Amino acid sequence: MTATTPLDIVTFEVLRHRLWEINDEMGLLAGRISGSPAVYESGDFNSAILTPDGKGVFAGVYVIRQASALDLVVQAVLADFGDDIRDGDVFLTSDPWAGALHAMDAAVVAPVFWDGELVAWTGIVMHELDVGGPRPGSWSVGAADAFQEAPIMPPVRIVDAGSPRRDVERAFLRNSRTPEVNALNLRAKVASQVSTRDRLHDVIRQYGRDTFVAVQRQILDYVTATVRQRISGLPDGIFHAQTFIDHDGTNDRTYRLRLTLTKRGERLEFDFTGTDPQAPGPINCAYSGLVGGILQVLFPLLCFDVPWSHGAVWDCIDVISEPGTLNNATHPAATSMATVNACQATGDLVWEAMGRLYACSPELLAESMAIGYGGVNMAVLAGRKADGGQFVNLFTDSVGGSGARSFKDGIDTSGNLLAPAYAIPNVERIESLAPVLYAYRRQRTGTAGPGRYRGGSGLEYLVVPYGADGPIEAVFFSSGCSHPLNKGMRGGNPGSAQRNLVLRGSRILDQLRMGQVPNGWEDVDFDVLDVVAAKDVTMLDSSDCWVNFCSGGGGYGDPLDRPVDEVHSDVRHRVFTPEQALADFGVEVSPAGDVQIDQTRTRRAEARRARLVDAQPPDRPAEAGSARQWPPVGSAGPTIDVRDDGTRRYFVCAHCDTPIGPITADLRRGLAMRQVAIDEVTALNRFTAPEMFVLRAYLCSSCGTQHSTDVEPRDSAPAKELTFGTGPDALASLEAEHHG
Amino acid sequence: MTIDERLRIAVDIGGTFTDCVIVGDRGTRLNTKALTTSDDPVRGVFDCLALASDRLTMSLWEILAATHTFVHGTTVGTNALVERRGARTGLLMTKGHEETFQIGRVRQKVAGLSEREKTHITHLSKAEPPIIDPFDVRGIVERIDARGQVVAALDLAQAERAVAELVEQGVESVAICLLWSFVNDAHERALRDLLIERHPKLYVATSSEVAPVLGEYERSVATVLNAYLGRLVSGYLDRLEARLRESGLPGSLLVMQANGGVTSVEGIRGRPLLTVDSGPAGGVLGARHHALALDQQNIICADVGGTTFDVGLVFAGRVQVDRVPVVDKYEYAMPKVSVRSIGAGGGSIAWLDQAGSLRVGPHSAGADPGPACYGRGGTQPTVTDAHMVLGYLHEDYPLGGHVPLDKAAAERAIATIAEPLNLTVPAVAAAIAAISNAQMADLVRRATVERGLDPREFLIFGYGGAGPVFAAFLAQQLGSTLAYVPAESGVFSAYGMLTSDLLVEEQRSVQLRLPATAEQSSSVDDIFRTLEGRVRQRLRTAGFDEDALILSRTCDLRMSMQVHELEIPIAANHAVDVTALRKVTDDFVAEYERTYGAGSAYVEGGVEIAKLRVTGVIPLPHPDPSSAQNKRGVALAVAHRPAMFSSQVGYVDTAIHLGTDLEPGQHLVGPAIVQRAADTVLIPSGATADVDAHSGILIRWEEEQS
Repeated sequence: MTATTPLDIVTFEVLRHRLWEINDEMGLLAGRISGSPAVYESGDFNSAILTPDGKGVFAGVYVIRQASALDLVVQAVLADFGDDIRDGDVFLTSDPWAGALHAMDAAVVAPVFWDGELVAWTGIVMHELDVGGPRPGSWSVGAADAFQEAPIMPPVRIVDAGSPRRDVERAFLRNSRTPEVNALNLRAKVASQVSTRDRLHDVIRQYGRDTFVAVQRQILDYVTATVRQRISGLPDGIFHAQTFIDHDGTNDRTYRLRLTLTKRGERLEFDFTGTDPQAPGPINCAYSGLVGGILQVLFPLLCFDVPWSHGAVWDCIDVISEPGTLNNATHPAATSMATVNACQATGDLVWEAMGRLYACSPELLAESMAIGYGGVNMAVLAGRKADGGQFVNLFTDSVGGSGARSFKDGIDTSGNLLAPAYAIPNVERIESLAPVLYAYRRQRTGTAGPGRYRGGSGLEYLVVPYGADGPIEAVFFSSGCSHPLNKGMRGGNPGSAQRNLVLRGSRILDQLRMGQVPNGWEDVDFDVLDVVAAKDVTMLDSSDCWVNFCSGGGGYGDPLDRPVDEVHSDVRHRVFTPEQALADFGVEVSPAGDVQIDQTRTRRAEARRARLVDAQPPDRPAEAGSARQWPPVGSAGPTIDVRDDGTRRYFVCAHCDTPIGPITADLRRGLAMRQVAIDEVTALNRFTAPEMFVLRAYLCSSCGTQHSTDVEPRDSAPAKELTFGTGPDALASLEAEHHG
Repeated sequence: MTIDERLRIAVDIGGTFTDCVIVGDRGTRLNTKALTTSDDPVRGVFDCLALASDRLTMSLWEILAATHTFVHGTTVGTNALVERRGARTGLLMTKGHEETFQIGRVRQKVAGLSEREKTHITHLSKAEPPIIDPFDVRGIVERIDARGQVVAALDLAQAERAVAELVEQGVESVAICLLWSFVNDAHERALRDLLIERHPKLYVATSSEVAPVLGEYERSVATVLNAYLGRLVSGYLDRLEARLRESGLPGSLLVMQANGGVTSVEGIRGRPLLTVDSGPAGGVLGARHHALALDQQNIICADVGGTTFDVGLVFAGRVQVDRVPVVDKYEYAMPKVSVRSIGAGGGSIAWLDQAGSLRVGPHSAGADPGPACYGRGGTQPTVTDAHMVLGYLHEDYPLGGHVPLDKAAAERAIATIAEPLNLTVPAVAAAIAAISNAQMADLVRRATVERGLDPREFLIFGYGGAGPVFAAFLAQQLGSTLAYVPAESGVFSAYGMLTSDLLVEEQRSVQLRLPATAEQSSSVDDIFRTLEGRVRQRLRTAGFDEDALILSRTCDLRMSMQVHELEIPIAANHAVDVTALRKVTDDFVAEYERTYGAGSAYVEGGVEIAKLRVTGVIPLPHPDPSSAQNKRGVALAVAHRPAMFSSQVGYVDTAIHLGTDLEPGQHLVGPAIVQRAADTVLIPSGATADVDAHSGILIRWEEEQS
């Protein structure tokens, strides 16, 4: 490659915009003609333009984790095919060890040549409805390794120098239960590569090969510079996060993932050490899922105003992860549920750690958000329609609410925010595709996480087989059933856990005929309640109802700080029950719907004191005296100041001016800790695993304000949360900065 | 005008101005502008007419009495939506599904947002506040299945109690949307009858009438918006029509609809939502009308205002339509002429980002304070300021004929970013203009590419106050050789309304996998006949004579499993049979491959018909846009001034022409600038132009430009 000169400002800005548009158009066109509901309704796809060596210059705005792994696909194709890559080639892979997230995400990439030289890559990836394997939808419940799952396609040439390889296409379609849909998708993907290549050729023709190559480099440099600057404006510190996956798809066991985020200077280090070894079930993700899981959060949080260049963001971070662990699994680990388990869990870890970091920055506090629905709670139903035709339907309408923000409530039935353009299908659409009837589909009371700002509510629906020929096979691949994944931020409570239930031998159709439409599954007349395991397979007979309810988002800030009128409105809108209003917010709403303001004030003061009664005192003794006179020098969130006593800096409770502890020790060591069984947190958690999980609330030992919460194993030591400074040197520089 | 000249009048209400265009059948052409009077828009309409009366030296009565067509475009509905001033509306939905409207398919939080806004995920929200208070929604006990069979009977007693509660709460209008009502509307009709009987004062809208298509969310939104706007829009139009009649108008008032046709006040009563966003449709129709006269079938309509940039498309002579448009985050099932609003234009602010890189937009200086050169206190440099520095605009010619311009202020504003860039003010102005031209072209290109169209095959039709400045550049950037700027570009949308026809559309969702049997084919024909009956009925209700009615039929087809559909015409003059449906399938596959690329169709997977549609049109007489016959040679310049069209070449001496001097058939050679009463037409170096019979200017670029 020849040396390139810096571009003039106009050319750079014009081409930056042009390439971004070209990439978006690629996704738009392919998404439009795809045949899977997951793609056209829910946007489960993404596209990218990459450098000749496979660094992503632009990602589209659909399901974010999809595009970020295309770098790995291109790198795998380069490794496998080397010099044997020709103009007009298009490559296909669904191999998690070649960049796909799981076998269903079939990625297509194509080299862009100019005058015989490789000058760029384009790529697109879509979720396929079914690519084979033991279970409809290819979410292989019960598979212990990759050999028991759908076949994986390593990188193959699907178009050979402009000629479609129909033999390869047939091989790819042969294993699928939905070959027509997959064929439409595959053709859409290939067509988009060809048209994108033509568009890029237009650009090269107009601006020249040198400029085209130079602009890719400059976009990466530009984004790197912007991201580094943003990172360097944040305080140095160490931020911890952990999360758990319930059920590995073969055993009902719980797995832990850990993250230690160190922010030092202009870099972020993501250290996943302490994450459990890979599981003998399909919840693992390969390195592709680790990359996708991290970047899917970093793009919206770090690049909300600059291009999404995965190559550039990747250059600003360090990742430490041990091969053979849950989110860096090695072949032949089973990975068919990677996206919604280990990859999603990786994203949740990054979300939580970044939220804690951003809460310490006045400029970025508004980007700090509690965890929302994300740990997917979906199912695939398959069987025969009345006319004998086969159907496979992925129920993408299982959606929860978003986490609350530092300045506003979460969004009710937001879906996963990391797929911003996601839409759920209309009930009429689903009933036209699959032999089912929806008795109801509504927002579920009690799913939202309480807080100063509350999380968004989740959805609940009830489906009954309707006109199916024989029983329907239902495949479940959920997480967040035995404990809530959607944790609160800065003292907010988690949203509810989620679940699938089967009501065996129901009389639901009779009830509907008699005009008794249930308000929730509790109103249905049935014989046996089957609580479905997080990952499970079952058969639905014509009288069996399937109920799905999804978690709401976590809350932000202490629920006792929520204004009374807002709690009142929540009860009127059936976000919370009156019982929750009293228990979590200290607000009594009478059956007539009125609240007593004065009583509330007293009740809340009592509630704060009562929290401390059965709490475990802080690990380290509280600092003496009040910090009222100490000047604030920073913040660790809306209710935690950083103040300086003249010699050292302390976390201080902003409500009562009590010093919590020095900023160089973990925040939680200076807070009292109260533990509540997870099923007692909210009524909807009745199907969780209270023998394993507890909610831990970390409280100001003086005034009882809830500064932090976590969902942790009952028998574990309290998890760490955050420390300022990253070691003796950084600490010294903090002190020096202060005194100098 | 002569005493027996017959007139056509269009009045279009915009955010700031109400525009009026009068066209006579013997050559009279006049336009006036008055401030929009939001408290009572009728006043603004009459202010415009009063100005026309002065200019024509005729009384208002004389003008109206000579008027055989009076078309009106109103923003009353749009404003009421945006400002949440519609009727307090209740919603009745199938019990168990009553939160459909609130859930908004989850996507409501991003519907209609730009990509940038969508990806700022920590700052999203659903429509705030919602059009309907959740307390005003009631679940009705009933259920019909996908085949139209009743699962649960309608509980009229429960419905009656629910409605009584809503009325008690103060609801003035009710929308009814039940599951599968487009297959079986019995429950919706029974509910409507109950409401009309028990609460005759309520305004009632039913989804099976308003939008009988699959998809309960978008159908409910269309129904709710109709209920929300019904009284308000009809009330306003009734008042305006009565005033016009009192003042001498002999015929009925015609109302512009967003679907690109007009109807009577009576005709809009059941579909007030069709007035929302109807103004831009007028511009697209006008552009089509003009361009067809120039033998151009493919048109990109670029309506560039001070702060907005709207793009519409005409392909193969057909106006492109959005089947599910969005208003204020609500996606609704009611066809509308596709007009994309793009956050770009003269007001876009140029700035330096953290990395010191020059950016243009998406922030805009808006109308207030506006660009620095407006002299209203704006200090940030905008694209219009760059145009001032480059010599495109001049202090001698106020913007839009009335806004004085301040070049020194433009230079000062640009200097604020020229200094850190270490460049001269003209160099930065040229950079801003180049970036903004390229970005606007990218956004236009997207509108074509997403429909599988190539912008190089399109004429760029530039109107709106700033369209004439941008038109030639847009064509150049898009690789098109032709741009056209109509006379009076600032009131062009109003003019376009005079080129529309009476139009009524009826559609219905079906599910029919092809190839079809003879029996299925004849059932398709039955549905078309039913839809045609409804079209006729609506036209009768609207008070029109069916003699000149032209009916056409189209089907929306898709590959099985897809949701995106393509609209394919089918002959309306004979009954649908197996052969006709086979031809529709072939046409669909051809259109599919043209749109999405050769080899993209996979017919083995199956093709299905998803919707049937009947369009009824009664043609109205249109103004004649015929182009110039007589060439009158090269136009003479009145002055010269330096202007820069390329940073490599720098400022060049540019001929200045006055719009009032130009005559049909005259030829102009770039670089040239035409100063017209209310706008400025740029003919850059390398382009030439011709003036047509209506003082429109057709700009040409050489074929081999890049």
